[in-house]
Amino acid sequence: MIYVFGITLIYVFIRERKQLLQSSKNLIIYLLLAILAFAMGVVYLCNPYLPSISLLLEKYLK
Amino acid sequence: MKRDVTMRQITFMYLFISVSTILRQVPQALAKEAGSSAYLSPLWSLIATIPLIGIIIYLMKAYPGLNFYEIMVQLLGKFVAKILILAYLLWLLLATTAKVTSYSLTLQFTLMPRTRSDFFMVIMMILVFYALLRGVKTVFRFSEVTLGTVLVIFAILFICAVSRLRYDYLLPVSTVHMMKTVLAAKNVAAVGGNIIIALFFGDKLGITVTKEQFHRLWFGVITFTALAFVIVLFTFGISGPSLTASLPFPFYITVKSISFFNIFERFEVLVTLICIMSDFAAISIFVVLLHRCFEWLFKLEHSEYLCIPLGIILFYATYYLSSTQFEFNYLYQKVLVNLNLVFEYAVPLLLTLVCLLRGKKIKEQY
Repeated sequence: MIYVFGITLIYVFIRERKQLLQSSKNLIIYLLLAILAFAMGVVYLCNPYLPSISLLLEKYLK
Repeated sequence: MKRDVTMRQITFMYLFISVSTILRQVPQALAKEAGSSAYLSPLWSLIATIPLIGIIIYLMKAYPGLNFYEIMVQLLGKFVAKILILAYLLWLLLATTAKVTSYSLTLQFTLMPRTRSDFFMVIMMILVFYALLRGVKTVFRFSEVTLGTVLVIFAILFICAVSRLRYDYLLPVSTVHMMKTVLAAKNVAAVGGNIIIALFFGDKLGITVTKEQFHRLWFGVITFTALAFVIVLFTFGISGPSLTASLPFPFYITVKSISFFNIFERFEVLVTLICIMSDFAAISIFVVLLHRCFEWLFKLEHSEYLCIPLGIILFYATYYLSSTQFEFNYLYQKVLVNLNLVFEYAVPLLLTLVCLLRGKKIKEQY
């Protein structure tokens, strides 16, 4: 799935390049979100059995 | 005057996006917290939802033609407004992720238990992306057109179910349990607070909002309460409070026992379909609100290009948030309900108090 998402991110970047390169703010926000999304994907790919946030909350908020 | 979005569309959207949560989470949460008398809780929720409508109308009248962020800027200043919008952004991200999770869990529980959740999520992402390509009005019109049919289906279901009601599951109502039913009403109020979307689209409604348009909000909240009451009543009356408390989707099981004069059965598929359509509308509108929050926070003119990275973040966030039905139930009842109360009730109340104390109202056209 992560490869499909990666290709989609690049496709959107190329398609919307005018708008993204128009101002550095647009580009930075897009890149930040893309990096965050990709990082989440890589972490999930490396370890799909990470304990979820609700499990941790259940464990420590009792 | 031609408006981008009308109050009628917002009310219909509010009702439509609330349907899936009323069907799935509310009966279970109420049964867990207040037992057999919990079907009275939707009525108690009016104590919270009616003042909220009053707050929304007051803010819209005090700041005509302004959206939620602009009202915040007027009342609290730009810095505090941006912090609040950042908080709203995170809350919306959490709420959307929870909606996607509950949608895929519903499909796995009802129709396709062997299918992986990522398949459902990708299909939903494509649908939402396609709908939003046509503009937010498409989603509003979809809910406007579909809600009527959904309400008619519910009416038929309830008429068919009357003979199945077991009064020993519902009666007697003891005053000893009354306090519990009042406290459990927060579960209904947390869903009823969705009407706050009216403030987010305040700028799309135009400068003048007539009394008749505001009446639609009252209509919306009363219909919501009636719908929640009837759904919880029938779920409790047919399945019983103890079974309702232990099932992940009690209304689905309830509907399994309903038949139309012993001719038509299997209405549960319709219930699943209604839930999916409601989830689709909810996810679409939450994504639109997320985009609006990004635009307000970073002062962006357009944010369509953020759709794909946001979609990917939502996709993976569902795995990080909860991985089983039990974990999701815990997250919904302990975290999401309380967060909803804060963002749907506490913040607008704070804004109204500031508005009242400072006597600050807009004097000229924004």
